[in-house]
Amino acid sequence: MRFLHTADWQIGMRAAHVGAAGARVREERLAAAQRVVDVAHQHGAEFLLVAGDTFEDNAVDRVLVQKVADILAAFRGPVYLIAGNHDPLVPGSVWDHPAWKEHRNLYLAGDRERIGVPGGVLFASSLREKQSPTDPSAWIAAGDERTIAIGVAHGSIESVAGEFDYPIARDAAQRAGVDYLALGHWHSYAHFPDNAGVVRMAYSGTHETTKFGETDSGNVLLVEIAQRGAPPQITPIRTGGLVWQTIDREVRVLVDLEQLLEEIEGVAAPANTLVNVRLRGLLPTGAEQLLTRLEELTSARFCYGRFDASQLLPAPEDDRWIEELPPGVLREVAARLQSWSNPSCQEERPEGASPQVASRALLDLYRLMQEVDT
Amino acid sequence: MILRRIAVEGWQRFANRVELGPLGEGLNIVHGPNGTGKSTLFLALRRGLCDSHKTRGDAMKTLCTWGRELPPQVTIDFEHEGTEYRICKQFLQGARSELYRLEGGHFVRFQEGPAADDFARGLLKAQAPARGPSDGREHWGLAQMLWATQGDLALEKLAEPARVSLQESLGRQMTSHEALGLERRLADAYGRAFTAGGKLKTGKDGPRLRHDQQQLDEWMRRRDEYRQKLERYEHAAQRIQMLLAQSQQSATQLQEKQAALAETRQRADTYRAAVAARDQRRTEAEAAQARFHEITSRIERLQSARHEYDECQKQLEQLEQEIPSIRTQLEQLSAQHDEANRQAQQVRQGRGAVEIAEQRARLAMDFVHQQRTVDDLKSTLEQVHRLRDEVNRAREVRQNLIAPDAKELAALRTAHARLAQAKIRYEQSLVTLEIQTEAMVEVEVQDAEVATRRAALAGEKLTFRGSPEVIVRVPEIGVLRAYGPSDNVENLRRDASEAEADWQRLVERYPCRDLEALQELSTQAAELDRQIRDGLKLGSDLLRGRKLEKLEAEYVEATARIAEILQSEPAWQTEPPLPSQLQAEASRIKEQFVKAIDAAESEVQRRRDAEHVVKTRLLRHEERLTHLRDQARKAKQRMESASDGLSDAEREERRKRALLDCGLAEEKCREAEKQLAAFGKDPLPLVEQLERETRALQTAHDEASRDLHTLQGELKQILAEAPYSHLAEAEEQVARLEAAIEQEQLQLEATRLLYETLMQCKREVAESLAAPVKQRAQKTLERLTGGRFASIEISEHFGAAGVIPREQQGQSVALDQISGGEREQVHFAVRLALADFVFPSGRQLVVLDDVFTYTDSERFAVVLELLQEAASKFQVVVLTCHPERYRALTEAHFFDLKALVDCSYEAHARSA
Repeated sequence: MRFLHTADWQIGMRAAHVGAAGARVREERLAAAQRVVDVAHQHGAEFLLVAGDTFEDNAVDRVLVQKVADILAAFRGPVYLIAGNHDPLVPGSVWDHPAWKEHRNLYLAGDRERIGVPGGVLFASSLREKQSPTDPSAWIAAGDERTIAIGVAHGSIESVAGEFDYPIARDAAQRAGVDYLALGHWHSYAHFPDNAGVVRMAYSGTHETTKFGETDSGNVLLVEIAQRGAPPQITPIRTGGLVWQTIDREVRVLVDLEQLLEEIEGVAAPANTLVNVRLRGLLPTGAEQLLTRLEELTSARFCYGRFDASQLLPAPEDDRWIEELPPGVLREVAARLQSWSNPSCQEERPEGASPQVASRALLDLYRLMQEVDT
Repeated sequence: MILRRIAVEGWQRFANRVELGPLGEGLNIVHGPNGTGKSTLFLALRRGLCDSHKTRGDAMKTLCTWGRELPPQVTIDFEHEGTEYRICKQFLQGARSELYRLEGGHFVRFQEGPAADDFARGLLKAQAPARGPSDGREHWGLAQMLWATQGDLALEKLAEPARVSLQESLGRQMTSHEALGLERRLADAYGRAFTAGGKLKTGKDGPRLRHDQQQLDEWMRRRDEYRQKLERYEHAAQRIQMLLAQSQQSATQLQEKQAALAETRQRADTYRAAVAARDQRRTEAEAAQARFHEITSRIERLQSARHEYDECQKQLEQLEQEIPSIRTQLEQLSAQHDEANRQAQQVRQGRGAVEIAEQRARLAMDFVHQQRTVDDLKSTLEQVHRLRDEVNRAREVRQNLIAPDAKELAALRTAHARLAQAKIRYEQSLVTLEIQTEAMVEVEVQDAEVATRRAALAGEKLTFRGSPEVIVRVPEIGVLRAYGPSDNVENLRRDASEAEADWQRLVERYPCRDLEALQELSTQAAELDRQIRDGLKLGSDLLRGRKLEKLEAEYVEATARIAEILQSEPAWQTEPPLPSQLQAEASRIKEQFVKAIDAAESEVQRRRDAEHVVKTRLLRHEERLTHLRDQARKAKQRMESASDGLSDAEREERRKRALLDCGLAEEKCREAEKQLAAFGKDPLPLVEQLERETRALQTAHDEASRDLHTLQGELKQILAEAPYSHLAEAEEQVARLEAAIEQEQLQLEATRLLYETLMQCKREVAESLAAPVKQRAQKTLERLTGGRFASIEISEHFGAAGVIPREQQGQSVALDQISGGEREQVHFAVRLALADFVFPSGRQLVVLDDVFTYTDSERFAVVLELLQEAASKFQVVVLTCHPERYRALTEAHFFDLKALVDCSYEAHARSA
């Protein structure tokens, strides 16, 4: 038995955290779905198994439903799906769409079904609620099966008892007597060996990364099982198209920023990369132009760029430029702003003179000084 | 900037070209009589440097030469920072502005039109007004502190931008020149985002933040809208799920109920068939019973009718025999009744005699009564009339008797006693001279109460009384003088006179003066008053509250009644009747009549009763006869109707047969009842209950289906809008805009903080630097006023706000409370100080148009000193009509404007 295990496509997902790049992120998820089918064809998968949360919500645009159905229908073998907690099988759900009936190779599991699949049997059950304390794999009893038995479930391994997040026991595969339990819900790839060290249950993770900080996502799993009882061969295959890169740096000297600039400029496919740059530490003297360049680069070059230098404070000990100011009004202004930019400043602050605002004002003053000098 | 030369033409009073210059770089005194055009030249200077050549309006039209159509022109040569310029402006018709620069000894035009205007204004940092000429000092830029129009040195407030320039000038002393560029950039950045009042700009010129905020609001609105739709979707989906479960459950219940209903209906059909069979048997039994009862009843009716008919016939025969004898008896009794009536009528005719006797008796009583009334009234009236006469007489006497009453009598007694006592006291106070004559003598009284000559015969006694002495002369004898105490004789005489007057006043109304007589009169009057009162009381008692007129009327009425009675009974005139006797006679007659009538009416009643008894008996017999005949007829009819053509035996036979049929039918009926009882309870109510329940379930099922259908439609509608996808887009946009706004706000806040901090620091510096201005002005004022003022108050707008005189011990005095001359001097001192600070280097033009009009000569000498000193830094142009006041300024250039004008006219005349 050879099949492709995927889950959590979250089609139609909102991506508020990337603002205007949300549309691109959504488009890429559809493109990644197409890549999943391509991978299945490339690796000779006999069927596709989608372990829930195909859609982000049941109220997504029906055009997306049609598109997904069409993409899956393009697979030459059967496709077995279950409804997850994001798209539960309820009235008015995405599964009511006629597209699922149009294509004969698409099969959505109902309640607790034992389905004959190429090379064995599949135990599948769709979720009908968004939350539940019930183990969605607890009903599977494949111990007596003579052929390869696999299961599919959507829930959370080792979730806290009493939480309504479809908890799944860590030894669910063993208890259910299946050769492999395909899991969905987690967006990162994860596998769980049994007592004998054999991996019989795994999360494929989402086929396309959804946010910054999400590790081991953007894959599908090619699962191969030789015979009943044999250990499954699980191979992650990359399907994600976007790179979500978080650059969290502490800046101490000017060179740090110069290196960062080189790094950002060296990103291979900026159009497919989302960058989140967070800087903290001290602002070295003469770094303002470099900062401006970094901000411009981040915002303009990438599919999405977020540049946060708010935690970057002018170095308190590096106030030479202030000292170099001619004595008088400007030096007094700079001194006051520098004082207010310090969060521990005890002086009375004018209205709106938060440390962040004062820091920005100090930077502006510095920038203006530079411009006047030139 | 300093002025080299100014020429005007077609400008108010200067119809021809008049040129003033070249002016010296120090002091310049332009003088001329009033109306020569000094202030006009100053106005031309301001228009030429500050106004746009395109300025129009009534104010500009007044620049034209009176009665001429020539456009006003002004040409100004000036030097600024080492460069010589010339600006030529023509206003109104053919308006133009041209700016020249001296290059290689020639003026070369390098600006014209608005650019030339702007250049000139820029030198002064002047700002043109939105409309019209720049008459206000605030439009003169830096020159507002250097130029003073006619008689107006006051500078209460230094307007923008001069104030800013002053602050800048003051600040410049402590900041670098380069920093000004930074400030301007910052001010530009601030000005792009904020208004002068510090508010965020709006409209298309406002910062992007506004636009983003509006977009954010819109996207948030959409987000909320789609969130609500999503909630509606969730709610509808849940409801549909619930309804589906309910619908399934109700369908199952409905099926079960329908099955139960079908079974119960089958049982009900069987039950209904048994009931119908029972009812059929019951009907048959009832029919048998009815037949039996019918034949039995017929037999009984025939027997009853037959018996009744026979009885009626018997009674009829008996009655028909009795009725003729009863009729005969009734005729006899009727005749006797009529006879008794006739006799009673005769007796009733005696009633008239009874009434006559009774009436005569009543008349006699009335007659006697009226006679008594007449007697009583006559007596009373006579007494009353007599009393009235007596009272009237007493009243008449009393009216004529003037007598004092008791009170008056007491007053009389008092007055009389007082008079007597006064007389006694007076008499006692008199000196008495008594002469017992022995011969005839004639005495001449010289002093006495009665001073008359008196003669007396011998033996007579002459008495003379007087006070305090009595003097008489007896001829040939001498003068006799008697005297005594002379204390109060005059008072006593006066008392006596007054007592006499009182007495006379009291008694003058009475007929006598004697007290005793008056006493008697008073007694008589009291007696008369008593008689009147008694008479009136007695009369009132006799009348007993009645009116006399009413008594007299009653008397007349009673007399008339008696006369009336006597007309009918004249015998009573002579022999009055005895009412009791007449009454007794009337009673006797009446008693006889009553006995007779009672007897007659009793007889009539007895006859009537007897007749009535017989008549009633006859009527009963006749009624009975009629009734029996009718009863017999009906009995016969019943016999005929009950007859069925059968004989009695045949009928009895039929009755026996009906009785047997009845028993048989009842037996069958009991059998059917037994079968029905074995079936049990009627299932029909259960059927009805099940039908109701089924209908209710069906209705609930239908309603759930309908709701389901509606919700499914709603769900489809919501889903067609793809709320989640739209929500995703809206939330992304909101996040994007919020992030952008956050950054923009941060930047704006930073710009604001930087700008405001800079301004605050500058203000603080400027305020600290205002002290030198004050000190410098104060020094100048000290020189002018000889130290009269301890200090000058400088306002925040750098104008003179007040002074502190030395004698005021620190208390400030407003400028309008000091003299006009000192006010001029204070403003002059402040202007000089401000000019010193604003223009630390480079000469500037100062124009003073007849400003020291109130300054006295002593202080004016100091003014001249100050002007001379100022001329080392400034070009000073003084316009005055008193050139002699400035003759002490030996280094000054004097310009006689009148001579210039005259020359101009002469030159014009020559050229013409």
